[in-house]
Amino acid sequence: MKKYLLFLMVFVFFNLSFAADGEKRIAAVCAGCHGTNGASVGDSIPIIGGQSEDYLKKVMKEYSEDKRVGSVMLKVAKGYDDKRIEYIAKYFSKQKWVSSNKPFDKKLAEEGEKIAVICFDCHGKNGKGMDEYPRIAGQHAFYLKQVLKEYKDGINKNDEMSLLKEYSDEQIEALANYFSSIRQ
Amino acid sequence: MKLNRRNFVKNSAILTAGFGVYGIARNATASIMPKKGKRVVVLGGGFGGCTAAKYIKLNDPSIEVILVEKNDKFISCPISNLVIVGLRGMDFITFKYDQLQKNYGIKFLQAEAVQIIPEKNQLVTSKGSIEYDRLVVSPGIGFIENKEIGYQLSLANKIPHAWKAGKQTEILKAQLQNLPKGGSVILRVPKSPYRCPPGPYERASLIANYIKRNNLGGKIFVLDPNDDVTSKGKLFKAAWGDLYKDILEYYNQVDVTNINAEKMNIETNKGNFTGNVINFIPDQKASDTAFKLGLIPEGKLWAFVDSYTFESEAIKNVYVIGDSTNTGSVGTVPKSGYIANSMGKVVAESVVASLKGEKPPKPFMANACYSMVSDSEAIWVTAVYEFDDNVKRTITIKNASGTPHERSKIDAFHQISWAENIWNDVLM
Repeated sequence: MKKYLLFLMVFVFFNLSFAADGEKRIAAVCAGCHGTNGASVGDSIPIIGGQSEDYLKKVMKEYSEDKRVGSVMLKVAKGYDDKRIEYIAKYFSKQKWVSSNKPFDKKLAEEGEKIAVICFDCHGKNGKGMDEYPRIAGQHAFYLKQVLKEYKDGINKNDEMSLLKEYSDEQIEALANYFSSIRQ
Repeated sequence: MKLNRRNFVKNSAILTAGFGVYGIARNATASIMPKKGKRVVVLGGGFGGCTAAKYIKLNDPSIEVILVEKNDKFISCPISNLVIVGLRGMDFITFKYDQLQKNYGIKFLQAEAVQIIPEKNQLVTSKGSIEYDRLVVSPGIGFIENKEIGYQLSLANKIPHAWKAGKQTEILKAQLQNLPKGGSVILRVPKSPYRCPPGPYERASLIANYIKRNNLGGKIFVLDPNDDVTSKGKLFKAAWGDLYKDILEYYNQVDVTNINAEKMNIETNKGNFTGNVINFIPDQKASDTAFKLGLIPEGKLWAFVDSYTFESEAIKNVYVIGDSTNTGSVGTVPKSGYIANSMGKVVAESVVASLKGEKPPKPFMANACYSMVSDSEAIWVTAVYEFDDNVKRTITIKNASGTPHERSKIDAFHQISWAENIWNDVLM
């Protein structure tokens, strides 16, 4: 009986590791647009390597159900079923976060710091994110600005982020630069 | 001739050069870089080959990887249309191969492929021959000459194709810079299948935009042998109608019957066209290297491969990826840099698995690319593909493909970010 259990365990283990290996390819194609292991160096495309797993899952679902605006992701996400979404979210969340390599505006970042406290509740004081709330520290300023504007303009709908309707374009730019400036 | 110092130096140089050539010729089949452990040789340092080399190392660093490429630099076709119209410089699309060597320990051999000796698992190059356990070939495209209509590749200095980035890009760019007021440009689209389906239409849009921006008052004639615009058709046509109504004239189902490069004239079934600049993009086939290496079946134009592993149908232990592959033998994927990047990842797992005696996972690929329709707006096309067990090909996943509703400014930014990221994934 013991032997049988051991055999079963080994069998299950091998199957799991083989499946995971095979699925690596599912994540690898993302690198064409998001950079190797999700460390995007193009600043209109988000860094996803090291991003929160729950957030990645949520966004992929939103894209595949047409609940989020976007570019090619509107179609790409539909190639990923729940199992694949599960896998890539896990894969990229385990990668090392590599902060933006693009310059940020120091003055705007200082302005942003003064008004950033409201973001801390969900994204954490250091902007590192938690659960469904994404990491924004070290993300590309260009990308953050773009997304914040989409929330402000109501193009992307989200209850919590709707507070941005009260913010000016300058304030949004300041916030984007502040969180992008936190680079560790 | 007096043997003075200057002549002596000159003659010695000729003598040395002579020996040099002789040396190479004699040693071409002599083995260089002796093989110790498992080794994969990758031939072709473009989007496909570099990706394959890098991802083999990422999957199994113990495998020795040698990248063989005839040029010392990588010059990107994507974004080269922006260079042609002066929106970006050549330096923006030009890269060295040093990061692949530094970051992943890939060995680089600058040499031309001469021959494959299948029974010895040997690739003969202009610098000597190398043994391999597996050989990945990603040689890109070649051009079809058509003497009946007067088209030879030797004309490409006068009427450039600019369909391989580099010197050709610079020639077309210089010609456009010299386009006189009221001058016209003829752009001939190649017949499908060809590299980068939306590429000719992006170029046409950008040239029209160039004429408009510089108030040249000229025209661009787009001569397309295909039934219609082959990619992103609605979006390109909408942009042409909205932005370049008096500048861009598009003709479909055009058969070129004669080219006169002297008179800069093209005769077709849709009339005669004369231009100050002629950008004739010829019909295409697998690169000459693929033919030379025996990877193309008799009477065919592309390399046939196993749809699951990319192993060549012609030579065992040799794998072919990228634009040179026959589309039908792979599935429904286009000839694009992004697909070459995806194929590079598939073949990397494929050769690593085969060296371990395992079965590789199922092919899974994606395509995404942006095209500029003006200097500030872009459009895109994308698709995700998976291997289908029934048809035994890699085909488009239902609903996971398409284009946007309209052109946009943000997509112009995405194009540059897209390029920076794919270059990063391929070369760094």
